[in-house]
Amino acid sequence: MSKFFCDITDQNIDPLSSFRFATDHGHGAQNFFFGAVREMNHGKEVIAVEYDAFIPLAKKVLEEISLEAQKQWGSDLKISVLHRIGKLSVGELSVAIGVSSKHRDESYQASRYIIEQIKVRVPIWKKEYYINGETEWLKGHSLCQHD
Amino acid sequence: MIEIKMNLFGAFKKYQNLENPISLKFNSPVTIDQIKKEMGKYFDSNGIQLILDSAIANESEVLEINTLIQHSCKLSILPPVCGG
Repeated sequence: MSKFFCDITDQNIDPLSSFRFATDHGHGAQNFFFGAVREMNHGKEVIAVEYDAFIPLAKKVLEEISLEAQKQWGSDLKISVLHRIGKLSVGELSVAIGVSSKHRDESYQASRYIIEQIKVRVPIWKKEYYINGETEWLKGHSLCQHD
Repeated sequence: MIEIKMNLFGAFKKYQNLENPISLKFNSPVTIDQIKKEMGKYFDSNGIQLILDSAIANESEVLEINTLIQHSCKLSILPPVCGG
């Protein structure tokens, strides 16, 4: 059985799916991170966020990141990463990361590594919808290598 | 002739007057750099800056700027990312 599961979904994220995958009787630590849409960003009141993704490459990069985490913190780590696309209201889950490991340190560090890498490497974009009717695609991290 | 169909994502979607994907035609093999320059013809100054900050990829990897595209294909232009 694979030790990681990565997916991009247009369905509501069910936290239980992370719990179910990132578990192992040999593991004493289970670490779960959930990202949610918040109601304020840079002083603007947000009513929704729309996520766009280049799905085939996004899934591949999520898998690469998970493999990197396993190489660094243990090949036995079980990792679940789910990222939403589509339009989400405030409070809805945008990302769920589950990591289980023998001891807590590995799962904490791997989880932190995965979310930080998602923000700078995975082809996913977000557009915020504000209460005043304006919208904005947020600036992000460039994937191209400048000279 | 080489036809490259370029999928647009993220901030490129605010250019609603453009078809998605954009169809680019070339008479000979082209580099990613040349493709980005050709794409600039479709955008205003803000869009051109966005192209400069964007990567071009196929379904499995981001392509280096000097990668030579020799056949018709589908590619995607990826603006700076901000998942999470």
